[in-house]
Parts: sequence; C-alpha cells; structure tokens
Amino acid sequence: MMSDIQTRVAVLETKEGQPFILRANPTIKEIQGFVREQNRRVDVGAPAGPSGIPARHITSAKYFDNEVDMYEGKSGTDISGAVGIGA
Amino acid sequence: MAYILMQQGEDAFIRTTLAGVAASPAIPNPGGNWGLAMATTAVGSNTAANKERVMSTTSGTGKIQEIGQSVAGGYARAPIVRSAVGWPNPTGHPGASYSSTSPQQSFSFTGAPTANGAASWWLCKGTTGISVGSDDLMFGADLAAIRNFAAGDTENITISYQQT
Repeated sequence: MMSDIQTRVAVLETKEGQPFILRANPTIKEIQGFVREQNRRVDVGAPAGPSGIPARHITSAKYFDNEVDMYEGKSGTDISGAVGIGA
Repeated sequence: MAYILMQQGEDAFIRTTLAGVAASPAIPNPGGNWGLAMATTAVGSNTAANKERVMSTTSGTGKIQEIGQSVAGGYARAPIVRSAVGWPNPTGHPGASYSSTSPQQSFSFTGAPTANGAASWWLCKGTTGISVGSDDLMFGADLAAIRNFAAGDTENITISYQQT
C-alpha cells in the first residue's frame, strides 16, 4: 500500500514567479548551496539546468512539512535569513 | 519520443473503471496525489518487458530505475493531485480523442542524485513507498534528452496524455 506521507520540502519563491521546490528534507546547508549556485548562475547568465531553463532570482525561502501544504495555501516556516537571502 | 501505457495504467483506465475491480496497488483517492517520477530507463529500452515494469533501485531487464534512490540530492516524486485541476485534467475536445495535461511540475537539486541521468518521466500511483518490485507505473514517456543533474539544477516537466 502506497503512502502519501512526504518529507519536508523547501519552497524558494522567485522574482520571475515560478518557485524552486527542493524535496527530500533538504538541510539549511543544502538550501544555502542551492541559493548560492542559483545566484551565481543569474550573475553569469548560465541556465538553471540541463534543459536550458533560465536561472531565477530567489526572493524568499520557506520550509513546509509537506509539499501539499504549500498548494493548500498553508503558511510555512520562513528560513530566508538562515539560508542567506536578504542578508 | 517514445511513450508507453503500462499494465498498471491499463488496469486503472479500463478494468477498474468498467468492471469495478480494484487496482493493486490502489490508485490515489480523489483529492489524493499521484507521483511524478523520473527514471534512468528510457521507454524505448527493455522492450521484452514493456507491458509490466517495476520501479527498482537497480537497473535491469524489465525494470525501471528511478533516480535519486541512493542519494536524493533534493529529488523526490512531485505530487500531482488526482482531480480535474491536476491529473486527469481533460483538455480534449468533443469529437476528438480524449487528452489531458497536468500543471507543470518542477524538480530542483541540492546535489547530484544517485542514480543520475534521467531519461524518462512516469506518472505513478503514489508519491512515496518506492521499493524494489513496486509496480505502480501508470504511463510515461522519454525526456527530450538524458538529463544529468547537479547542485543548483532545476527541471520542469509537463505531462500530457492522449488516447488514439
């Protein structure tokens, strides 16, 4: 029997609109690394992935206990400062 | 681009709907979530077993190897709600073949997953519960190219289904 239990996700809102979703219970350190790398790509004009999707400006970050909570409009835990956004 | 409707998908689409026979594993309840997965196995390979494949942490004949099972690197199946705003979201027109398209899903990576090298996407019966021998594949198709992911990468996938 399949379970719908999910691990915590980090949702990174972007200036361009579409958020980044980091699944599989990412740590603060892992999210920091993603933010740094994404900012670097924005600065040098590199794509955000092998498909050529443009890199995006990350504006805030939140933890959600379950990804579905985000889609249902629940409020997550703001971790923007902890991962170096707006510092 | 190669694509395939798996035996589990046939059960859900035809036998379950028309005969009322429950699928095993069960499809999500209305409002529950399908899982969108990526795998290293291309649809066009392993053709000898292409009617009934299983998710597996190892590759091999008749098996679909999902990425990120040893090292996630930020990967997990993306949830798609079982409803008309998720999938199936009918987009076909009367008089034409039925078709449906789900909202775009994104995957972002905090590191290189193991296994890496996604060649295909799959609509699965659940968002978790992956195990060797777990046959929960509905349908899938090849990606435009094999994608090797690293920290900072993101991938967008929009699934579409059409009966012909």
